[in-house]
Amino acid sequence: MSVKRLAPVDVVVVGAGLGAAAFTRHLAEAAPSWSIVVLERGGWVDRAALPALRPDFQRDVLGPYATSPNVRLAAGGIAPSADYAVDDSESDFKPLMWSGVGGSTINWAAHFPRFHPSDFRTRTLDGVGDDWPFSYADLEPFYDLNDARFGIAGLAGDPAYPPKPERPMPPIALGKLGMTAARGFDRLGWHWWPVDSAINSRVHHGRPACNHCGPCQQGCVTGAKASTDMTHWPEAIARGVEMRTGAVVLQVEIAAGRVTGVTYRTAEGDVFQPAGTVVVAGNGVGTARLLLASGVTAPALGRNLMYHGAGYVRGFFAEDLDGPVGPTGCSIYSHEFYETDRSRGFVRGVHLQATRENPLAVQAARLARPWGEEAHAALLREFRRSMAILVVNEDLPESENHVALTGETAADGLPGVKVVYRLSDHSRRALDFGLDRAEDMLRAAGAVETVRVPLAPFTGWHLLGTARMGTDPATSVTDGSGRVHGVSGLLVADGSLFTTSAAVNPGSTIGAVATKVADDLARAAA
Amino acid sequence: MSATFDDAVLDTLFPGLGTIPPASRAGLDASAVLARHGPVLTAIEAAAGGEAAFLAADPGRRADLLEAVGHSDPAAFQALVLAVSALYHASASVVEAYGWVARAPQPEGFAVEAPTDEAEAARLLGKVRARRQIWRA
Repeated sequence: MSVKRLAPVDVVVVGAGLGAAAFTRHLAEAAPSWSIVVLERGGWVDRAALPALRPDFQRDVLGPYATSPNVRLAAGGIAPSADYAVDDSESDFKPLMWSGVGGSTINWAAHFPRFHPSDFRTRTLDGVGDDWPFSYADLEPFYDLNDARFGIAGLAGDPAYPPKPERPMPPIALGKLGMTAARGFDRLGWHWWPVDSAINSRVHHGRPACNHCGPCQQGCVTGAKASTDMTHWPEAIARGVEMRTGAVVLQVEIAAGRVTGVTYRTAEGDVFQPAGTVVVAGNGVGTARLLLASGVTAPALGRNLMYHGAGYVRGFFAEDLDGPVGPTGCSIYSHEFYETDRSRGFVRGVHLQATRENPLAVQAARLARPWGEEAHAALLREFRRSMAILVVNEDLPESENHVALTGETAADGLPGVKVVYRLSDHSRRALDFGLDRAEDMLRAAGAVETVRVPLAPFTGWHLLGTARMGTDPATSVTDGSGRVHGVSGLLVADGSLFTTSAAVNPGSTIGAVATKVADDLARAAA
Repeated sequence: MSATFDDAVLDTLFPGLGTIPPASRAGLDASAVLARHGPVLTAIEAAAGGEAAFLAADPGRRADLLEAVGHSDPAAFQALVLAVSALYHASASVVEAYGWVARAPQPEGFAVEAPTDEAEAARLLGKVRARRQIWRA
């Protein structure tokens, strides 16, 4: 097959998700004379086609708009997300993602916490993991920049964090569920705080306030929930960035230790795009897959996959708690147990997060016995009266947890990809501790019954660590500026870079790190 | 398999309870789902000793038969259950029987905040705010 060769550009960005968007948006401003092309395998979301506008929306939640690409593919797929199958048969958590413009910000919960300063120094402070090549203070200006570009609803003054800039919008309304959880934490004397949300609580940046419709993870119809197809890409494109959708990158081309460009596949055929710099941002699975397929040989590439350990406790209450309304993941959280206390039997910590109820069909699918008369009885007891406390722990980097190629060619032309992940004893101890605390809190809040879910497989949003930053090429893939060791002109700008995982959602930090990578690139060239 | 048999299986999975309708009367179009999970239905028929035997069985016996099929091939049975469950619990009559509104979440959305929430939250947060720094430098 002949390959069409295009005119060279300065920078090619692979992917259009959170990391790619933060990187490109910043680079377009910091290096305005550079030619930048973005290659995205999927397309743009049509908000008028999203499920929340349909009375039968629940059917799509467990089918074509499921959070798992494997489930979506089994249901026939959904066009804007150019999904590829991920063999997750040997993984305790199932990878979740969206492969279109906006990436997983299309179907994320938009819970937007920062990492703590200690998260960047786990080796020094606690003797586990590795220190990042930079500190919280180094990253702080990029957190601030990226926060402003997303638009954050939240509340200043949280004693669990160093001071952050005043948020432009107040927190998302807590509602009965959030207030019930707040009273529970308060009765125990524990820390709690409204989450930082990348969701508008008021009209902001031309987007409306959230009207609490509920199914955030099937895409936001109104645009109140930030996603980079609205927050970052329009500005980048206005500054001259060229976005090409339906472009599946098959190979980063490397010759004599430096990149020469990428080869990608379109409906019209294969294309070679020469470029001086190639930036890969396809998440912790997609980035490792492409770099492995391109012959990058860093020993740590694909290794140290981290998802975050996750389990939850469901509490059932005697009174109504709002039902399936409001942003699922954006209510309140507690970092009472976030920092290390060795008396607990593990180091690092856990994040506790009150999550809102799901639609009836999703609640029903969670039942221990989801059919028969018992299912009705159980669902009548809990629907509109349940609250889940999600427990997230810091997943430590372990080489045996990894992304690998399957050796077969997948439908998209790339090698097939597999994830291998087992929850560590460390994570199990941390999760069990957190689940105990979640039960304590739910009882204090008035729950009449609790049900413990020790492991939550369909929480694999956070695909981290497979092209980790560091100073030693034997144990890391890139340096602190996202530059791949030993391959000039090749960068990474997504969660793959994470040296450790912290115990909170990574979106805010992915954006900040990708912004820093862009800033470093522009400064190095200046 | 006859429509009567299909309905009997659906109603064993999701029988009625009070105002909650059984699956066969909840307005589902389950034909595509049942076709996709045909082998499970065949296994249920075989376990019963034929379609007629399943139809003649009382609800408890039918549930036992489904339970047995679920034990012999848990993944296939679970897939059928979840597929039917998604249809059933999304049907308007079931959603309303559970006390919720059967409409699209948008464009109306929902209200969540009570008028007193803000003052109470501020009072409780004042106690948290007063704590010393709890993050490690």
